[in-house]
Amino acid sequence: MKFNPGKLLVFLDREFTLSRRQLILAALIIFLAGFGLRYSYLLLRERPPRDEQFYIQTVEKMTENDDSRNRDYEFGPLMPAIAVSLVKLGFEPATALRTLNMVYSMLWILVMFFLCRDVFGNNKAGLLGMAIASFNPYTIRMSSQILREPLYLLIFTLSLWCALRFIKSKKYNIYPAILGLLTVLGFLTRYEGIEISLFMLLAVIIIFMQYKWQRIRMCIYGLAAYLFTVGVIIGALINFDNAYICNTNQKAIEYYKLFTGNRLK
Amino acid sequence: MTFLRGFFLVSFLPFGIMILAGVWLFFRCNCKQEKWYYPLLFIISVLIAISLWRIPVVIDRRYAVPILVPGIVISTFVLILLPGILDKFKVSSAKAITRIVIVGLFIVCAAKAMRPQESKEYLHEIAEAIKQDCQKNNIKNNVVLLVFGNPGGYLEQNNNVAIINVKNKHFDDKFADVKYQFKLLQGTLDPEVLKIRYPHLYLLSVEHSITSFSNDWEKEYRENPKLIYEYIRPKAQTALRLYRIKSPHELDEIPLSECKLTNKDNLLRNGDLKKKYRISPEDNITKILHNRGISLFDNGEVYIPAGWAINPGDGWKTNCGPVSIKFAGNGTVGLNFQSKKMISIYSDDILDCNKTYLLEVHANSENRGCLRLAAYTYSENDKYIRTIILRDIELNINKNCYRVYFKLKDCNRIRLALIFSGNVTIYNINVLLQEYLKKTIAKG
Repeated sequence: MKFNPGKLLVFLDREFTLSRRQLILAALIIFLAGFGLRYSYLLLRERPPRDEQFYIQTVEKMTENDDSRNRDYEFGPLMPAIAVSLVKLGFEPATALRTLNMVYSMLWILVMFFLCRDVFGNNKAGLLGMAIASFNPYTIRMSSQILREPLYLLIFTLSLWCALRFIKSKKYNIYPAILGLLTVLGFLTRYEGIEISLFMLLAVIIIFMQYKWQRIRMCIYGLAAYLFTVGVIIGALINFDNAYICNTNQKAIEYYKLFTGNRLK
Repeated sequence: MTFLRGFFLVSFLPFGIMILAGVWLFFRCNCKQEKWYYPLLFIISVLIAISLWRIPVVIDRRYAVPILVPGIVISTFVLILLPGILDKFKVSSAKAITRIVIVGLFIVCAAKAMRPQESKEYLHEIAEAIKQDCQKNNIKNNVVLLVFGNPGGYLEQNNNVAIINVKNKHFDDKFADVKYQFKLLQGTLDPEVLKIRYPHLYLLSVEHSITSFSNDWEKEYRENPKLIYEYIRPKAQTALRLYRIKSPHELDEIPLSECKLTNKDNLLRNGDLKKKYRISPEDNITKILHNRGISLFDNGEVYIPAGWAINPGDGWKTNCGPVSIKFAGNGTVGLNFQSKKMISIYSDDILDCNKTYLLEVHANSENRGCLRLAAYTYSENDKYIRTIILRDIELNINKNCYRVYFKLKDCNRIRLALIFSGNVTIYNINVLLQEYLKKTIAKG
């Protein structure tokens, strides 16, 4: 079955239109509904998951040591590092982490609006995407717990949005550089954040599929800006002796040895 | 199939169906001319790329949560198309149906999120049962808990319990698939190996209330695990059973004055640590350590026992802090190690596999440092296989003699390794064959 979706997209083309005021009001209602669900889940929850205690202790330890180059640190440091700055303002570590996670989650809902709007080029699609995001049960549960996922989701979605803006743009712009920054932030949140580096590659492939050689210069400039940003930030972090980045390097070598059986006797 | 099961688990069933429908609709449509074609193609390619690597390796739903982001965009696409599709099939009141679907979806999502969780007191009780069992048996060392199946939540953690979740065939399977899981208990997870390291092995099985994990275990390993806790979830007919297996390899802790073995029949050539070897800053290994920011030469020359070597592949990480290795003076021969995290040395002397040995170490620590006794195993052509941890010992200020018996299979050669963290001093290391001990006892 082949079909022409142009005729099917009545929701976007022929349905009601929204004034700016109605749009903001609808977005606000969805936003508040999302917040209400997340806050209610927080009150309903019976037992804190095991990981919460680990993150709280990490933030306490980092605050006490006051050492941004803490060598004990072997997992994504971004989430606790941001929390430390709130703790220094007088928040309890648990409250700081919980508040930040709620903020990340609410920001994520907003970014989902922009992402869906830019994919379909329509505010109503943005609102629908935003509503699905704010009602998704797994993200509701996650935002009420102290985990790295809400921050990672926010960075991941922002990266997707930047890559999309790059695809939709007619000439080179700032988005590849922002995507470079977000790639490093994603990696500093979770090791798996390295997957964000795929977005730039996929974006270039999509632009090439769409325009063939017409926008090759834009692609090259974009890739160069992206790689330059990633390189500069990673280089700066290594120079700053960031234990997480250095450990990753060491881990990579050890994994290589493990796979090749080339372990030192 | 595993991929689809995983996909529906991480994306929540209604969204999972919408995502698959959306991808199918996208590739079936003649929509290259639409403005949203390439942006949506990008989103779908991200979804495919992320799913392909996330779902097969996922061990928990939250690790695959980024799949939701492109998934939500594709779900939006399906909901946008829905009234048009209904119209095409001449369904009356397509708009009303679409609205009902959207509102219904949101109600289902909210209900799913707000569903009160079952109170899982057993997660606490299992931890408590292990704690009490250890107290009853006077176990101060670490124990291990092997979890078969999905207990439906995080087990409460005691500091001295190492929890190992044995992978099930499908990651969303609730019940233990013992045939599959027993095959995975190899190498360092081999129960025989675990019994060398841990005084107690605990097994938690999640099974149907009428099946018996203990019979399966007995058939496979010829030993009957003792049931120490059972909880049956009446609704789901699920039984959570906790069993214990006692290790025959007990760690003896004897005051040094009562330790009677001599070094005469020691299989290690320099077990009394009397011969020293000076490490050069030009050695490859010291260069590797130097590259990791570890300097051994801050306090002048460094010696290690002759016949022993540093293994930078075991411990010696960038975060192990200032490290010092020095021989004690004042008439006693002792080698002192200080580090924040694990550092290791291993012996050049080769032992044969499939023999029972007694390993005896004389050691103490001023700040409750830890000593790990380990064995590197090698194949016939001297290829490294794996590290088997024989025992973790928390040392105290008294000079004690620690003895552990071990027998390793599935290898040809063994080299002993000592791994330290904290401030640890060792005075003597003996490795003796069990046959020697029998003879000594018979003579004595």
